[in-house]
Amino acid sequence: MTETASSAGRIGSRSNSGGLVWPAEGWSRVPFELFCDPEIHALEDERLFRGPHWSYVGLEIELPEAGDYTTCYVGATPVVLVRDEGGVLRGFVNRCAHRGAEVVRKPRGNARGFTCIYHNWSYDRAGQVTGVPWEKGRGGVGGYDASFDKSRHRMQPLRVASWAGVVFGTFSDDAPPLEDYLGPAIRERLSAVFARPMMLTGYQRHTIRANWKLLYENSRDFYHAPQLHKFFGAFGIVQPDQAARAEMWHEGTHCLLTIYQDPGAPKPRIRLEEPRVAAFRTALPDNIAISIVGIFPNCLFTLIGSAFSIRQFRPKAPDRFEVHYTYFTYADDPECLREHLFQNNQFGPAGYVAMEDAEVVEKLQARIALGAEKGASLVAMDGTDTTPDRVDHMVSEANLRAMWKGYARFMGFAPPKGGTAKPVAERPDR
Amino acid sequence: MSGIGLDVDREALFAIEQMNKAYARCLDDDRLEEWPDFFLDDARYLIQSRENRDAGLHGYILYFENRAMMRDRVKSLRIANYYNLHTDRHLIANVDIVGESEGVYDARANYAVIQTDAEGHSELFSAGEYVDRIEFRDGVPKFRERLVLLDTSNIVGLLAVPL
Ligand SMILES: [Fe+2]
Repeated sequence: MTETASSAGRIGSRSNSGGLVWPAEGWSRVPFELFCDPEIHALEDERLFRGPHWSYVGLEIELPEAGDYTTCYVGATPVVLVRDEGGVLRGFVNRCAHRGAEVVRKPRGNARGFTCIYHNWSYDRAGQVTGVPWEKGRGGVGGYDASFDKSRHRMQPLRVASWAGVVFGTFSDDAPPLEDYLGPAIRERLSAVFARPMMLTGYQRHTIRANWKLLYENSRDFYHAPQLHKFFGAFGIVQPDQAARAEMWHEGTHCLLTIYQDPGAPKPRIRLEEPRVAAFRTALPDNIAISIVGIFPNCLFTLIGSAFSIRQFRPKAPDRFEVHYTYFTYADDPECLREHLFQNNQFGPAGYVAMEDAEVVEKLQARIALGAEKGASLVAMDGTDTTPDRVDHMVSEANLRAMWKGYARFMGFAPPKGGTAKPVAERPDR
Repeated sequence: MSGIGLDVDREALFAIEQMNKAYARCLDDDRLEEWPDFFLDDARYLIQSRENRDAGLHGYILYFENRAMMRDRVKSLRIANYYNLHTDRHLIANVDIVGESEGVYDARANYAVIQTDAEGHSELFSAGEYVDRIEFRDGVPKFRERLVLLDTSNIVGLLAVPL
């Protein structure tokens, strides 16, 4: 996009590099353009989803046997995750090295290798070309010339790595080691939760007609939870003053949200007739009721009672994304599956404490799409500072500001000039 | 000719067809409080995508295993949840009895639900199949189980009101 005279007055005006200059007020303002602009959307695919970040691509329990595969998306790019004959997880782009056709057609399955239906090029489990029809010609004519070496052709590889059975992928050689990328708090939480054997319980697909970042931001938004989601309050399940904290990592873009059990919660006026829907017997030896783990840029874990899920974000357009849920619970206790089935009524597109989020972000998107360049959202609860590594109460939007600061940095947007944002404290040594 | 169901229990089929019509009207008229009355006390109401069903996975979008859970759903929609303002139009077709054993009828039906938003736009919201187990109480058919098997496994927006 070229800079125009009129753009000077915009809240987030562009630099010549195609970037975006943050409003002078600082990280307490988030320009609506970020949620509407097709160029920013394309830039996110390049700098975030294909940049030096790790994206969630699956759980190891989905791929127990050699040849098991699943498909998903890293940003806009369709990828395949496979377990090879040596037990190693492989990732590649689901796009034929010949003409670019789709190769793996089913969402998941088990295969010895893969064949593109277009010209029958075949591939091994790592995405390497193994067969090319008429490679040497047919009936003495045609074929590829001597310079053609099929061993030099393959579907584009995706680097994969896993932590505690959770698999991530990156296209970038500059991504830090996965352990460093996740950081100590998220590593510990995932290790604690996944210390027992898990079983896969299902999938769910969900289309939301809004920008993906609105839901990613929403998942760490303490402020909205008791205000918007009345289910807990109406049935006396969670009180808004309950102890909670947010721990950030990766320049504020990851967030581990922890909400503790509140034994002193007031008795509700109205009760659920079936309390098992919201009975959080914590399956771990701690008093954590809910963990929500946002791992930038594409996933959210909800770890609550026995109802575990991970949501993979699949941006499709500035104003549309899909959420792909994977549900799982503990395999070593049949009671966990029972609890999971009951508790899962709270989550997903029909969930008691989730449906409002889709409703809000869709209607929000429809409003800001009209004249997006004129507005910005206000994120000034608990000051205008960004807290780089933790927030210890629920009455704050500091963790949102931290996320936007990190996002802007990863996108290459210039930081706000002047304004009221205070300098960010250095991350203390751990 | 029995392969096309000419030997169906006509009286039972008529009753089940009437129940499906009443069920659709109940939801479309937003008389949600009456919706649990189509079920037996310990009946199950399940919404599951065909994708999960075919893979042998649970993956229920809603999992209710008694009428109390259905009443809780309605109460929550009324007092706690915010969802898209809309009207539903259930179109139920191909209602049939596919089996019967000791007074429990296995019935199937196709459904489509068209949603109309607050500004009057109508869209196909969900298509799929009802897979039912039905018992008669005092001559009235009641669900022992209604499984809503979604062809539309990708929910657009949200799913608040029962299908
Ligand atoms: Fe929410």
